[in-house]
Amino acid sequence: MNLQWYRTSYLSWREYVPYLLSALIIGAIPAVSIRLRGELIDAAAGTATGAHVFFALLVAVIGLALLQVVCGAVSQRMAERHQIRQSARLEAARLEKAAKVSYPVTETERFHSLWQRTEDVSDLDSGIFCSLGDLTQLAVRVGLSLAVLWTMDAWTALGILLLLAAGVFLNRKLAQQTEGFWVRYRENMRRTDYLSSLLMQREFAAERKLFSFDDEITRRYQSSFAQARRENARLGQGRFRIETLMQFLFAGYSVVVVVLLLRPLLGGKITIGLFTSAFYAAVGLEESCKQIYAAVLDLLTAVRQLGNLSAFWALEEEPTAGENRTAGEEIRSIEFRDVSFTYPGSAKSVLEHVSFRLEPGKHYALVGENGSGKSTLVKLLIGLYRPDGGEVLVNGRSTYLLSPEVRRKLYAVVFQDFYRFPLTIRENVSLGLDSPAADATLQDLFARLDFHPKTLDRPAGLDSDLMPLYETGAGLSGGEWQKLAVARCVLSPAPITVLDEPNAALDPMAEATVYAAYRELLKEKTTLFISHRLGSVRLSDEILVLQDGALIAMAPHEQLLRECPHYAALYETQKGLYRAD
Amino acid sequence: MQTETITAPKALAYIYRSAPGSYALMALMGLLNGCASVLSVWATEQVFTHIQAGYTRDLFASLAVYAAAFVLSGAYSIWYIRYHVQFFAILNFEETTRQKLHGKSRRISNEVLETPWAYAFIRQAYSSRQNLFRYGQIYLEAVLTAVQAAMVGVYVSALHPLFLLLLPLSAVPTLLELLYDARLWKKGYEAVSRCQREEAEYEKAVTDSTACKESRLTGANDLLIAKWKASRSRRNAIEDGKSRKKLLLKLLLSGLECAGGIGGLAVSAVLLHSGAIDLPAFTASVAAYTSLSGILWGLSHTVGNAVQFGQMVQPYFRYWNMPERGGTSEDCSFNETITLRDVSFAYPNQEENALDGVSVTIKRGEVVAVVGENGAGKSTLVNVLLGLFQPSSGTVLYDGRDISTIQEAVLHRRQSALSQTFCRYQLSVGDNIAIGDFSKGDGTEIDTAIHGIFPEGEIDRDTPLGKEFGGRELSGGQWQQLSCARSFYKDSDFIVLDEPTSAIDPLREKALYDAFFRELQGKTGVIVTHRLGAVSLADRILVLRQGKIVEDGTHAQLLAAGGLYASLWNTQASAY
Repeated sequence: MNLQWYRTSYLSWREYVPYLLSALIIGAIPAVSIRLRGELIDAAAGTATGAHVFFALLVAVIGLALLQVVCGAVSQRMAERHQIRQSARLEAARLEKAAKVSYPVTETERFHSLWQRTEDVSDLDSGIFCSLGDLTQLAVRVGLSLAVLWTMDAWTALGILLLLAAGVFLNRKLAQQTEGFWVRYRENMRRTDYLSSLLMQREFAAERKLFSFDDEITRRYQSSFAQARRENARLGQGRFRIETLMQFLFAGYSVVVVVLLLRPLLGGKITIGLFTSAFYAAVGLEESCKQIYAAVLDLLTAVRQLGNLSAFWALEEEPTAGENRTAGEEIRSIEFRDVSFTYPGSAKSVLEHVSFRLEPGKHYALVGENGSGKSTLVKLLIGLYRPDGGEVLVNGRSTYLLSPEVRRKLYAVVFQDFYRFPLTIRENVSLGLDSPAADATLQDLFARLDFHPKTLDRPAGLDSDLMPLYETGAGLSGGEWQKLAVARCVLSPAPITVLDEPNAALDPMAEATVYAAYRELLKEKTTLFISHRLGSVRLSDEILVLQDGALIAMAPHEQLLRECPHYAALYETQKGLYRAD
Repeated sequence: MQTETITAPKALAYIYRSAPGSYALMALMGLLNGCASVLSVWATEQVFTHIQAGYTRDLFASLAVYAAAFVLSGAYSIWYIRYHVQFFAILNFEETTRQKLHGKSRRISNEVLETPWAYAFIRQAYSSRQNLFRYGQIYLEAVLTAVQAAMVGVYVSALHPLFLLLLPLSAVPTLLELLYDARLWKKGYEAVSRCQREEAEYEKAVTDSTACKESRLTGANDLLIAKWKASRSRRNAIEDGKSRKKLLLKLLLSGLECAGGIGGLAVSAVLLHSGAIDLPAFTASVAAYTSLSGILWGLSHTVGNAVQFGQMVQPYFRYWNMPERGGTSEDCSFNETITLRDVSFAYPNQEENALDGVSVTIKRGEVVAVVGENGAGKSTLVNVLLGLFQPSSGTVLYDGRDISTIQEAVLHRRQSALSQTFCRYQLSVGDNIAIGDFSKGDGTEIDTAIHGIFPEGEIDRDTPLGKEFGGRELSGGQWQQLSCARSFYKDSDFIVLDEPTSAIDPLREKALYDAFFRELQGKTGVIVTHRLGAVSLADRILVLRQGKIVEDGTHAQLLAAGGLYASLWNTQASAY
């Protein structure tokens, strides 16, 4: 279990030491009070001692109790403060780590499941903090109390120790019995929960009504629930037996304590006051012993789970000290040299021996059917993937080794499934820039793209937040978001622009506007345009045609119509839809 | 939506009615617990009365009573709370409450769900149900603990009247703290949960699989993390302030709290010293006091929790305020026409009409294409045609009969649709199709459809789908074809296809459209699409613009008319 990341960065002794010290005091007070309280009772019951001794003892006992209360309050504050600070630190670290993870890793199921599993990292941390405090306190309390009892009568102390040990043993059984109970319960209920969501949630409302699947799904829901319930009842019975046994054990414990303490009392070794006080203390220990076990268990579970999180911190990161290309460097060449790529865990390669060269300042298009490898080619081009074979080079340097900073200066990309970032309009559009764009630049650009969302009429204007929270949820429509993504791309000074099906959410009229804007705004740049609508790629300088992972042709439109039957067939099929007949 | 809150008595009445047996058992166990406390105090007194005499029968008898009282004290906390509630009561309660929620969801009309926050609203109602049972317990527990406290209080005041006076003291500091806590919680609640939601959005933007691609090409992550940190430190400042205030209050009240903890011993000792009580009475009073301060501590906790839980159950009851839809169950499949008469529709909380005074008649057997720009009202129109959305004004008539008076279950009996937001059920492949009409049970038809979508044969009827339950993941296009198969599996007279190829490779679109038009033979169909190339096959085309039907006719007629349709067509066609 590797906890290096945790130990070095997040364990702060400055927080632990005072907290554990205060736990020490809180634990010691009940033990220290035993004799004092015994003498107080003797002083109260006897007539021999004077009033001043009695009141002095009373003040001492009250004083100790007050100290305990104050220490309790202070240590609770320390725990809260630790929790507040540490959770922010740990969660920020978790987020920063996620941001640095190399791109191919983020596509894996493992990344997302680790991300979810690290969700409670700060709870685990404060769990460790608190249970260490509890443990210190309880251990001191039980240890010291037993020591005090030992000074009264060794056999009594030993008897109590044995009974407590039996209690701990039973507690362990109980914990084993119920360990992972909630995990199993939730696992059992997952299916039920899903069926329940079909019957309740909004996203299923339309089909729920149209297809009236309520009855059948309700039947399945009920039977799935019944199964979870049976399983639960079974678990409950085991727990019931042990808990009942424990209840009897502890009832017997009180009786045995009295009997054990009676011996020194009758033998004259202890006074009646001390007997009474010791009885109270012993009864209190039974509760402590339950808590000790819980604390140990919490601590072990938390440490173990923390260990599981190390896998997240060990995920591969993006290169940070990649090549430091200066922003202004001119693009001389972009080249695929015999590139092959296979997704991890897949037998079939997506790209096979693809080679081509893009000239700076020219406009290229990439076409092919779904699954022909277009998106993979783009990800290789911009350095998100490392090729299995061959090389992807920009000015002779491998794109996979580019640091995110350099990559940002080099490429501007609109993906077909662009993300709706919860930032302001200005921030969203300026993501590719070094500093936020000026009002005039944005207004001019928005006019060209015919982008006039209602959100801009809000008082905050360009700085309106697009956070999708419901009270401000006016937001943008799908088409408006797409234009925003386009705006970001054309505003970026990066010399290479990749447009991956950038108009999917636009209707034909809006599409025409955006095309015109591209042609105008991206004139000077090297562009790669991916589209399903072959009508829109016709005007590119050259068109790359992918089929089953192989680059089968690269030529201007007219030439492809003549020389590439696959392209010609695709083109004719689409064109056929528009043949007026 | 409705923000009125439900009063505690109404909420409680609802909850107690949902699980009367459980709560009755709770009352019984609670009373037993009270008896155990009194018995335990009495036994303590007896033990100390007999103790000086050594190991006598009387001593062992009183010890036996003491032990019995101890065992009995587990009735409530162990056998009721930890066993009965956790393993039975909660589950039964869950099942009935969820069924009620499902039933309510069934009765809500779909247009009500179109508010931007409906999603959060339903989620909140759904998760709020988990607090109902505890909320009911809190009040009953308060009564039971009060009874228990009274029982012990009466006993102890018989020893000396002074005790009764001191007793409430032990509860005061805890109660004050909890009320203060609740106040702080309520005060900071809005700000804190806002921050939490923002942080969740930022986290999602950093880790979402779509976002990861983009954020690695832009400076988005730095910005998002900076914003996350800002929000987090705002939230931490609030939390830290709360924690500091709590410490201050605790220190101020430490004297009182100390009196609660040790006061019983101190007063008893003083009384013993002054000779007002003897040693057995002393031990009894200390035992009673200890048990009472425990009881009162619990009581004040309960009362303190009531405020918080009172807030937390609100979303559940608010859900019940959502307007419902009724109607008669008389048969209503249409035979001749569907008519919209001056229909307008506005989404909740939006000023502009999504449909604005639309009148149109669709005849049986017609295949109608609906085209128009984004936001022109195409999807709204089909939802109104299907009767899923109730128009804000105007009427929808099937064969001249207003459908607003007909139950939805009846209304949709002979309809089917492929929505733009089709569902991806995490069920088996077969169920994904069969869910269109479970009563049909035609295995052969399902197998044929599956074979059509997955010709390679690696997927059959029983293949589970969806990552969540360890099933297979499909591509967007495969999911859409599966949904499409579902829509056609259900026998229908009227079918709507809303952007049926949006997730499908446009290079294969033509073949699919040809198939649709074949399937639609003999049915009344509406197809919504951007792809004008596909609509020319329709019997009739409706062109929508800003919620109005601006053109209506065949492809040839509309092209000749030279209006909006013609210009859209030319824009798309000219590319070729």
